[in-house]
Amino acid sequence: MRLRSKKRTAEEKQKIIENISISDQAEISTSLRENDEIIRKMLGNSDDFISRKILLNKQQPIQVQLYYIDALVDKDTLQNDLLGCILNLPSKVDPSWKTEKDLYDFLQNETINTSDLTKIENLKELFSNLLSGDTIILIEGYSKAFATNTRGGQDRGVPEVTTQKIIRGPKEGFTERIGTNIGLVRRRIKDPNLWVKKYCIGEKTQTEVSIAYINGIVNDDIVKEVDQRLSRIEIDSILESGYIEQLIQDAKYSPFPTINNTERPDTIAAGLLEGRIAIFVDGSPFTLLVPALFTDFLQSSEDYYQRSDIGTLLRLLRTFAFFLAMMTPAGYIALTMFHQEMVPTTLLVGLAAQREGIPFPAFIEALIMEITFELLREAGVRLPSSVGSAISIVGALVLGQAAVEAGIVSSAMVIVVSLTAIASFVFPSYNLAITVRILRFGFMALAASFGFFGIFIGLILLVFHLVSLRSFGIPYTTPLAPFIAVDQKDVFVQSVLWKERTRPRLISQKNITRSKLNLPEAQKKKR
Amino acid sequence: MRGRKYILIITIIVLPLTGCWSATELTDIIIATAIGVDKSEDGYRLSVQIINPGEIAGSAENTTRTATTTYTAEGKTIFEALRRMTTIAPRRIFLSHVQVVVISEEVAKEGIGKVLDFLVRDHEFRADFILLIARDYSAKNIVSVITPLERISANKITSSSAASEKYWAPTRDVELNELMQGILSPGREAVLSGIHILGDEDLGKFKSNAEKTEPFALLYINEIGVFKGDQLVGWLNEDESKGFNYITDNVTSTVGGVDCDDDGRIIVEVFRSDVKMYPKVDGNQVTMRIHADLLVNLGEITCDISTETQEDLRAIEEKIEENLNEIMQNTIEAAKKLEADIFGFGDRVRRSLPRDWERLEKDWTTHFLNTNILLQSTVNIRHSGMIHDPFMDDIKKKNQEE
Repeated sequence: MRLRSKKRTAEEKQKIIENISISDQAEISTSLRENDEIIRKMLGNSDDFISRKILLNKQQPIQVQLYYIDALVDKDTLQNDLLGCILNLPSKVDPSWKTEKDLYDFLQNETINTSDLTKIENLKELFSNLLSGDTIILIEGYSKAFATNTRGGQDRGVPEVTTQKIIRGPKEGFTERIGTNIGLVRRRIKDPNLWVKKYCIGEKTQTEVSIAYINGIVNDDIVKEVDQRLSRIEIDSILESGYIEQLIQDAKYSPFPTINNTERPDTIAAGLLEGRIAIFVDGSPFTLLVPALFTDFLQSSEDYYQRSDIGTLLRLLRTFAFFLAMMTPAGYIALTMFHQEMVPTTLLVGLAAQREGIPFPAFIEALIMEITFELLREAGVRLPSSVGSAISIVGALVLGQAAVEAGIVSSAMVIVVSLTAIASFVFPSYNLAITVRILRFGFMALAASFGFFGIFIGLILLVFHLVSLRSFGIPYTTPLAPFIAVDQKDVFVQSVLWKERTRPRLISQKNITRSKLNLPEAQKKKR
Repeated sequence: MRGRKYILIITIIVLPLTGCWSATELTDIIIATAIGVDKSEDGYRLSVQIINPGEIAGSAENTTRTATTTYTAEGKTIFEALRRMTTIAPRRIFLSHVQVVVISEEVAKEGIGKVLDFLVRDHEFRADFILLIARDYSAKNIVSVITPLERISANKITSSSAASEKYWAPTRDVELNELMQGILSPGREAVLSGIHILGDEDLGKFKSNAEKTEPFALLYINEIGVFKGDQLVGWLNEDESKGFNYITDNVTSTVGGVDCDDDGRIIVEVFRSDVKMYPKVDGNQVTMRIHADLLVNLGEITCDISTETQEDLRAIEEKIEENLNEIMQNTIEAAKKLEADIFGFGDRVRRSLPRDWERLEKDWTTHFLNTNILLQSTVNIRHSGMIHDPFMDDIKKKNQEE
């Protein structure tokens, strides 16, 4: 047995260990012991790191070393597929191999029966695969290694959607595994044009980020833009898709979201079919969808699963709720502080009766109640579900009823705040709900300073801001401004499915036709 | 970018400096719902009915306090009197919700122009309140009456004014704009309905007024006061008031009756009334053809008459047509006596025959008095109700048999 002496001195080894995180291109040594030393040192002798030595071929003994991280591998695959076939090797081994390369080829081509096998050239790849859950196989005397896919470990399975509930439609949601997530979408679109591109972002986390789009439908310029923005990211960690969202979004200081996120594979599939691009991030069930327009946040995937009249009604309701959630307290403040002549007499008398003895001006009163509600909501999110009901009792009885009875707030204000709260839960996307929550306080301040005049100034500024936004090159308020007549079929009013024959302009600029079927005509022909 | 940030910060800092400009909290105002204008020694006595909101909509049990309070102040003009009232009233009086303005007959006879200027000029007033004339009683006492059912008497007055105009027709719901038009436009005179107190005006001010099944005092609106310019010159009686509403095509629904040949009456319910005026000018002679087209239902028959055949119904229709013509004729005569063209005949001529109007305008009152009136009425009976022939005859027969 010839050992190609490519031994390193102790100094050299130290150098590699120090520099590995910087250069990462250090080659794998031919000596197993040397490799072992470097790997162990790099991982700081972590206890969940496991190595196993196997001696192959008793006539011509040759050492093979296996490395894996305990929690990341699927024990079943490791034991049955990998270890099983390697340990059974001695009986089958063909003595004809001469060099280590032959053994390598032999193992690769004839022995190991795990589903995928990657050749590893340097230490960077070695660590990246090892830490992703692969098992690394090193051969004494050969400077290349295998990574066999034994990825596994604990998984939630495909869970039910928790944040974007719908009544009719698929219940399954994304999980933390990127592979599962992409699979969920692939299962819905069985088209070879569904292309996936993988990125590895985060110097420390090495998070897998994938973009998916349907070639031929997607606007190539947007793909290029997304690709550029993702490639430009330089950060140590990506722990959630929210990181990516913040790093690549257009308007960083706007309260409005310019990237949509969803937990629902069907929403992603629908987005892809409209020519959008999905960004999957490993470790997060929230998948991003770009470009995202303002009207997208008022639409739910359920709209399309029901008849269009119901969908239309719900969309109009949501649009109404958007204004309601944003401006009810502001409107109340403006009416009671500035424009009493606009309230019908009977209502004004009622309001005046409630306000008798309330020590605070309407604005302060509204502020107190809004802040109280925001506190309640925040507490409700954090609380374990077992004490959740306690909060609702405290919120409803103590704060609602008692505050009115104690004469601190008027009952009309409680109604206004509850109405606002209910309206803000109507949106299918949480993003916009938060935006509305922020804007609400601004409108309240404007109303308290200038009445309806202030509210309208605020609204005008809001429109200015909205039309100035862009999401990956697409104007945020498309198709309202710029007005695109053909796309009005799917904004506030949802036309019947068989009439939605084109994809939204601007987002998908080629292959615009969706279906050529005109249902009533097709039926006519049958007759 | 930096400059923009500074502008933003400065704007945010400057915003609260306006300090809620012209904001008024609900707790700083009192809502006025009715105003009464009487004459005082050197000007006007203003009575304002204000609301005690806690009594009307408060969550607490109602106390012994009244739902409304009346404040009174005197001044040379309305505005002065109103501002003088701040010495009595606990807060600023908010006028946007005034629904009724009651003007005493005394002031109306002198001329209401001086009163109206403030009502039209002040920005707080909405133009949709109604005006009434307090007849025989002071405006102050009228706005002070506590009404059963409606806790705010202004609400009672507006709703019963609207209801009586709609279902009974001898009153006219006159809002500010209509009054101003009547006073200012050529060829037309203004009218206002009258309001009275039925019962004891002093006991009506107590809360106990609403604690009786038969209150001490009730407000009721009846009859129409005729203006010449801004001065009240006389009154139309109930029939004439109704005739006025017929001629001006303001009847939505009413009830009218004619006597039978024997003792008894036929009452019909008018459910559609369409009246048109066609002016004709021949030299200086104005002829006004008035065509009334009424659809009625038989409402009540207390005499022995058949309604089986078309001829029977036609006979009834003819009687009603006659009666209607008589009512309208009387009304026009009453108006001619007062020399006030409340029907807007002149206005009608001005619109249809503007050239003739130019000639007639100067001396319109004379021409109005000389106007020939041609009345044409068409009445159609639609339904005779749940029964055909009245059963008076059957009762008589049965009585005779016994």
